[in-house]
Amino acid sequence: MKYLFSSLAAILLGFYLSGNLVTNWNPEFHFWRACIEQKRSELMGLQSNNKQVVIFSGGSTCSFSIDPTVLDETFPPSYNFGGAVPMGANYILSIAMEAARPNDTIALALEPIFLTTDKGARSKVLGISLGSWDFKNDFLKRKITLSERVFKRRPGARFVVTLLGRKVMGLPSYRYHIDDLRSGGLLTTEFRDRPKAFSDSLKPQRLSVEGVQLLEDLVEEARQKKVRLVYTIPWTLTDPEFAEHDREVNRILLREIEEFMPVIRDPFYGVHTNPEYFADSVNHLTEEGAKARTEALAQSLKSIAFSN
Amino acid sequence: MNFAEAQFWESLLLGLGVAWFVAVVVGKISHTARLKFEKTSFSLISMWLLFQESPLTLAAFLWVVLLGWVCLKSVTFERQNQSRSYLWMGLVVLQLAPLFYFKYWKFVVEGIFGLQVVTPHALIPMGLSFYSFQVIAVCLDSRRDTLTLPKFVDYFNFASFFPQIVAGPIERRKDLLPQIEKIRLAVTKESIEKALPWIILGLFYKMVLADNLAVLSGILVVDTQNVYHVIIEIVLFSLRIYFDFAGYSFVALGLGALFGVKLTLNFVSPYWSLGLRAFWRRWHVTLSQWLRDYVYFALGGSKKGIIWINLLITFLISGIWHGAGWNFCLWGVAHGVGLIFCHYSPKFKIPIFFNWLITMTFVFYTWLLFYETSVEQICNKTMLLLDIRNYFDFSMDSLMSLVDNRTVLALLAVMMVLSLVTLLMEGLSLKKSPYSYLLSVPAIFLMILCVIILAPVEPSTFIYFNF
Repeated sequence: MKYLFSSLAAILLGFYLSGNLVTNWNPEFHFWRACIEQKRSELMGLQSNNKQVVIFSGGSTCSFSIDPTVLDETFPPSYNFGGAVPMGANYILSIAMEAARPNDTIALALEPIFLTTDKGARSKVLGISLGSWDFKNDFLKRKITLSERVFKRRPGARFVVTLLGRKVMGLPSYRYHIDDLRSGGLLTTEFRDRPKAFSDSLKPQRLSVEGVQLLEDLVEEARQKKVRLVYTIPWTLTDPEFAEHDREVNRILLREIEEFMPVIRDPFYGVHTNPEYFADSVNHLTEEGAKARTEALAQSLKSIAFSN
Repeated sequence: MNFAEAQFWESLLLGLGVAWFVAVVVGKISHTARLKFEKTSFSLISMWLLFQESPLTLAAFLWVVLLGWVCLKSVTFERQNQSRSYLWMGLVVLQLAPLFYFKYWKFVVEGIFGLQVVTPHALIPMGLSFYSFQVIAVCLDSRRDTLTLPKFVDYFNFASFFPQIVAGPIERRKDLLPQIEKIRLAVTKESIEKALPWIILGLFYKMVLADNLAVLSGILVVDTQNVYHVIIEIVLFSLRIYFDFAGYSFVALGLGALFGVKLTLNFVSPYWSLGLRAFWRRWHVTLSQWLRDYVYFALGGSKKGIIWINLLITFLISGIWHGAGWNFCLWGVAHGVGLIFCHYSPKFKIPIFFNWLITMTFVFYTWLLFYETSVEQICNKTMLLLDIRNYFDFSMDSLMSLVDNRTVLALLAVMMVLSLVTLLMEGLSLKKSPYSYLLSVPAIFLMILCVIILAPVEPSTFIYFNF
């Protein structure tokens, strides 16, 4: 029975290490946990003083791009409740829906990849880990199974190599810090990675089967909770050569999304060509970029979401 | 039926659990009935697993296997009636029909004849090439060796034994059928001890090595004008395809052992082969044996006809079996030509290291023909590799442009080291028995840790599933 016993011991040790690597020893987990706690508390404060609040939700492109402090007084109070792509869309949207009260508006600034790729909507490692900490089991009508908790809550080689590499090279364990979180929920970074625009044009995008399911579940839950939904496509740094083509691709996708909820159309259609507006990736805006982005969508959002 | 996915193991455990429970209940009534049920349950579990893949996968499987049964019956009929029936031939052709339609129809009508006709949109049903060959072989063996007709349930279990149904090994009647006839739905301590190491070794090869190499292949920025980039690309694929396919075969071997069935070891450390002939005795062993027995020997082998033509035809068929495309034909022909060269060349005494180096250079290069579907790209890359001047045009900067950040570089380094250590242990094991060091208790302990911690969260599919 030597193989059986040593295998059982290795399995127990493996899952113990694996679980700790994605939670307790994971700086990304600690950062986002602190972020969510702080965002929840600030949002509750805002909600207690106002009848309706606009909650921006999405991955890190949302976290880095909406700055509610630049909105003028004619705009309803709003808060950037953005998360990060590794959480997965299910988790991101479920915490936003949980935080919303009747009459609030959720402005989805969700990355198209969540809606256009297979399995894009599913909760990912960080989402499942945060869900375990949050005692959340139900992500928008989709139960996180025991099998997912066990088998998906694993780090993978790339994660381990990154974590160890940062330790060995004396780099900060995670790029972002809770001090980077501004009032209103905007996340900022001093880090500049000179992002290069995508060197190719966007391929045609259609809503995936899972993307459609996600939107349907979201609309249903919003209807039950009496929460408004609107969608706004995040900005991506794009080569000027492909800008118009990519905008057209996004226009087509937005027409599909519009069948589920109103869509805010700012003049950029998810495409921007100014690298100065981008911090450390083609999706993360600088503070200046976030200001420009928020102002660009404010008027359209006001006309769509609060017209009646 | 992906061994690297939790869903497979959940379905299997559920299927086995239900079958075992029913068997116990049936056993209370009659021991004979229990034995019959246990055998039938293997067929049911296999069909359930195939159905979960897709209804088309199950339909294609049933078509081939049931026609195989009719074929076996027709052999008996022919023998009893002393007739030379062409029905048998027709049935074999019908068995091959799904394989031709799903795998080759598009290539033949569009690629060869340049016609624009309706081609199948569905993916090739999983394992079609494998079980088609296995079922045809049992028909051929039964006809040639005047073997008796097995019981239907045993034949069906032989054709559908779930560990090997979708990616081999392609077993022969004489090896597998007698074991299947005695199969029981029972797992013993001894069988677990035999099965576990192979299953874990297989999962380590597949999930840690092959899947991470696949992730790397997807994120490396390969400059097709840089010879070093192309070499790294080839090496990555060469390692990946071996760990991928061998990994699957080891899990299959382990699952077979769990039920007391000894499947053929389909890979015997092929990257330690000295010479191309040795390589083909150790790479995808059961396919090589199938092609040798049913194609090469049927053509006359080395006794009749011209050996080089027989070799070339055999390896061309091997190439076509692997995929419908000119690149697969080229790959098969290249190996055929390599073996012809080995057969006719004067017997030089080459130092072992150079023998190994030449063999592996050839084998690794030919993987380029395997994964690169564009013939134009194959030609460009081949010219790049052959032009000696390209090797002097080396700079660290151009080499580093392969990776877009240091994490990817570190991951590449870690995976290369892990792959090389694994291959080194394979080489050392050959002095005892294949993979013996890798199957030791400490190695298995470490491999389990690696599978849990290092396997990518999103597994890729097995390369050989669609062959």
